[in-house]
Amino acid sequence: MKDLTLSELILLLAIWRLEDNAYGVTIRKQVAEMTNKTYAYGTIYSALEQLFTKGYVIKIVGPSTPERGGRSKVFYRLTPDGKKAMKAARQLQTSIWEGVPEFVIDKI
Amino acid sequence: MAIKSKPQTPPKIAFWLLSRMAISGEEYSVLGDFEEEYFEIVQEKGQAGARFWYWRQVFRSTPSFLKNWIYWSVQMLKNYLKITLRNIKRHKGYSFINIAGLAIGMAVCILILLFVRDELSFDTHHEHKDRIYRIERRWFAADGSVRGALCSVAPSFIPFLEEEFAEMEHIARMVGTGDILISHAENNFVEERFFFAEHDIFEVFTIPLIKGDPKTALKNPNSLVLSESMVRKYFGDEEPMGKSIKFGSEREDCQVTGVMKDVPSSSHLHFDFLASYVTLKGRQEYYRDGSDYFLGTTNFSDNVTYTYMRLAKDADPEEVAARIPGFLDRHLPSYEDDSGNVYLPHQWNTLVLRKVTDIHLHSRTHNELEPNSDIRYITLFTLIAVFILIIACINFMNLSTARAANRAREVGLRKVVGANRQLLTTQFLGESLLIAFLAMVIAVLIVAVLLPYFSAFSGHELKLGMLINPVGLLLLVAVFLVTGLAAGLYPAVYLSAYKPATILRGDLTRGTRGAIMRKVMVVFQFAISATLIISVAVVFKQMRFLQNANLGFQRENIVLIPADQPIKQNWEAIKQELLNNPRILSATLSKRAPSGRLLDAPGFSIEINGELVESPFTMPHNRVEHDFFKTYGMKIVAGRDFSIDHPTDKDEAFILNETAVRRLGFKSPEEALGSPMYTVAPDRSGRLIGVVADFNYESLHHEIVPMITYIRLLETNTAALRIARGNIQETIAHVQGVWDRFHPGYPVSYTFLDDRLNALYRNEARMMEMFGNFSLLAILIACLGLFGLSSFTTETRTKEIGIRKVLGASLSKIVTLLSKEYTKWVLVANIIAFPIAYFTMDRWLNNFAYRVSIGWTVFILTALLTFVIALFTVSYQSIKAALGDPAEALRYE
Repeated sequence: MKDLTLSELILLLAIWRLEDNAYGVTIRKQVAEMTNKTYAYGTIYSALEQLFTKGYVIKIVGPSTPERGGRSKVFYRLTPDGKKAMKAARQLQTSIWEGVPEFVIDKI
Repeated sequence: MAIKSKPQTPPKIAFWLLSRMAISGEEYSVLGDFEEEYFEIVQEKGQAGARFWYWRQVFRSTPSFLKNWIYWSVQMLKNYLKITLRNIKRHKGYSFINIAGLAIGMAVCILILLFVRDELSFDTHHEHKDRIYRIERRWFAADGSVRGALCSVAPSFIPFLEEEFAEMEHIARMVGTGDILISHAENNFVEERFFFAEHDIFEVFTIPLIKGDPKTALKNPNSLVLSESMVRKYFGDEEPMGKSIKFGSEREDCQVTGVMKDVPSSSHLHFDFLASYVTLKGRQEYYRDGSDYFLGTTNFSDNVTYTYMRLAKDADPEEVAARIPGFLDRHLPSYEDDSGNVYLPHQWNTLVLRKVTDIHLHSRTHNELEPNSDIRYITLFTLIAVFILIIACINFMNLSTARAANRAREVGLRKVVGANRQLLTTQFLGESLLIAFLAMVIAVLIVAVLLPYFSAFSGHELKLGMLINPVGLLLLVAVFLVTGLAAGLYPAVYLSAYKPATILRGDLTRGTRGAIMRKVMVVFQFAISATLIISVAVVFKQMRFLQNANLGFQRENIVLIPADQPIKQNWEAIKQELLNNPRILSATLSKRAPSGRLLDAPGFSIEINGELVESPFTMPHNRVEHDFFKTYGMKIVAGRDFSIDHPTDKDEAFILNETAVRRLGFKSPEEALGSPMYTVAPDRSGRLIGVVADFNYESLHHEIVPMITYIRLLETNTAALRIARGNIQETIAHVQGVWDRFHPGYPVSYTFLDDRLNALYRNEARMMEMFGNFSLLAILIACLGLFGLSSFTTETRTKEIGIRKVLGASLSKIVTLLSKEYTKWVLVANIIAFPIAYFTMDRWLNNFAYRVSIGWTVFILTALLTFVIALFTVSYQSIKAALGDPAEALRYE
């Protein structure tokens, strides 16, 4: 399994946090909240599409909703592979920073 | 709730843009997300802010969406490519038939396109090509029809034209010398591309000079401009400029004043030597009466100059042409016939301006400088190219649709996972384009290999490099696209129409859908093939007839040698010396030799029953020496041949041919004997001493015309020798020995009469050889398709055959059963082809005055041939199937 890129990790985390309510609008907001940056929908979607082909997320078509002009939402859920990749990324993060005290990091 | 005054929907254009760009299959959720947030913003910031946000989002999203779209397109393409290559590999046989058929078809197409392009490019190398005209002359019969046409005119016209037509900016006259001796130092050669040309030739034509000044090169008498290759031939590495070169039997000196580039092969006229026109001034030996005839007199009778003219930029050629009749009426005499009808000059002749670029394909005057081509051949070959490509495309279509069932499962699956019809059509079209591309690559390789041979036998200098330019590449791309699309469109539509449920349920009967369509296509292919076979057969029949026809004289073992002044002056002695060699049976001189055109017809008169009749019809004059009829083996049917025993024969004897005697109204040749006759040029009176049997002096395109023959050594230019069979070298060595004594330094250049006769039909023969070969290819490709198709249908019936065999069907029964299907249609194709071929070939044969009849055997043989070919093609597969072990066929299930 390839290591996740940072943006992939961010997206997966956003989806995981949103639990059952992860779709375009909420994911974009969640990402903005987490990173303090807004991304264009296009960027979000194509990144999601990449995650989908890699098998980290699945799509679930929801019921049609009146406030969206009657269009259904597409919800994203993590797959076991997705979760595994996320954990691996977390492990990598901690292991690369291991043994480096906070005050040293501050000095960088 | 208040009624909203403004529409709250997102901006329409941005909405549309987004719906086009969003990830395919999920547009709804993307649009939904956008709309959800849009309405949130409407609540917060109002309509304007929301609209602005929407637009901004769409813009910012574009790059990512596009990237995504490209990514997926590449993925799909990769998949298509994989499937296509897998299909090609898995069905090697079919793929071979498809690709080979298309490749051969395309190769032929490219060859023909190259050929056609070359034919169309004749004389386009001239800078002013759109304004250059050749001045030609035409004569009319009493009913206004064209009686004769020459591509040359009398030189006397030109000074008057220059005076009265200011639009004719530059006019240049040229006079060809025919075979002429050229010598420089040790180098003596007989050349035929020698012309006297006015210096304006450089203004009219584009003739790049490597050395010398076009303004002055041909100004002075005895100046000569040579082509590069002639410089190499005569001078080698020596500097030619200013050197002296000798020409003609008088060994006259002239000075090299220029070196020009060789004339490109795609020109209607080739010259290696241009001598200044003024050299002709005051020359007796080139023209009999009037020393300045070439420069212009008031004599318009001898059309000896090829004349080219450049029109002013703003001149209207039609307007200029419209003034010519008036011009002629001012300068030429009227003509009065026997019944006293007076014809104004413009009623009996005219001058025609022919665009230089039209000469090669459209001009058919009696004295073309070089054999021209014919626009009809261009049409014919373009048609064949199209036909061959159609046949190859049909193979592709038939095989793809027949094998559609094999692809059906793929189509079904693709549809289930969401491919729509458009996507599938694109896929199959892409597939056929890929195959067309492979075929194109192979075709270009085939062309590269074949081009030298094709160039040699089409008589054109064709190079593959001609394709590497915008037009050539465009043509290649066009052939590739047209083939790929034409071949792929029907299968693509057909395949993509499958309903997934039917396919996956397994209801699809293999390959039966579209069977009618396939049969129609096979009929079409074989109808074309049969038409081509019949045409080729008729053409070859006619060509054989032309080459073996009884022309009324013996064509074999006659050697023709140009004879100039020294030869003619010493002819008595030369003839004696020639005949001393027992290998030379007979020798004579004549103005032209049979195989040439009969053109000089200055008029005659004859006394019939004491009444003088003046030129009741035109009759060419044949000027010869004593043993003309004897040498050529022509038969005297009444009276006697010319004889040295009658000293008056050389001044006072005429011989007519049978046609002339008949046209004059004599009941028998004997009756005409002894009639007093007169001719104008030369002015002589005498009697009819004999009548010669009709013979074909000209090619068989023309009917035998009345002809008068008399002795006039002065005007002859060709020696004809009848020689014994075998050991030609020794005979020629003897002739050269005689020539060396009387005309030292003149190399004997000889031709055989039968070669010259065959040359009359060389253009036809060459075109027809190409026609034959291309037709063969067309048939081959059609058979290739039939072979593939039959092998496929046989394959689908393997089980049926197995069951039939188990139940006791015989081998022959099975073969008949399987072969019947297609051979039947081939016969239908023949029936369609017959009338088409008959009418086309009948029209072609009408070009010849002497032609074969088409006959029914050709049709029967063609039907048989195509039937046998088709049967053979089909039965290979059916026999293979019928011989197979039924157990094998039935094993699966």
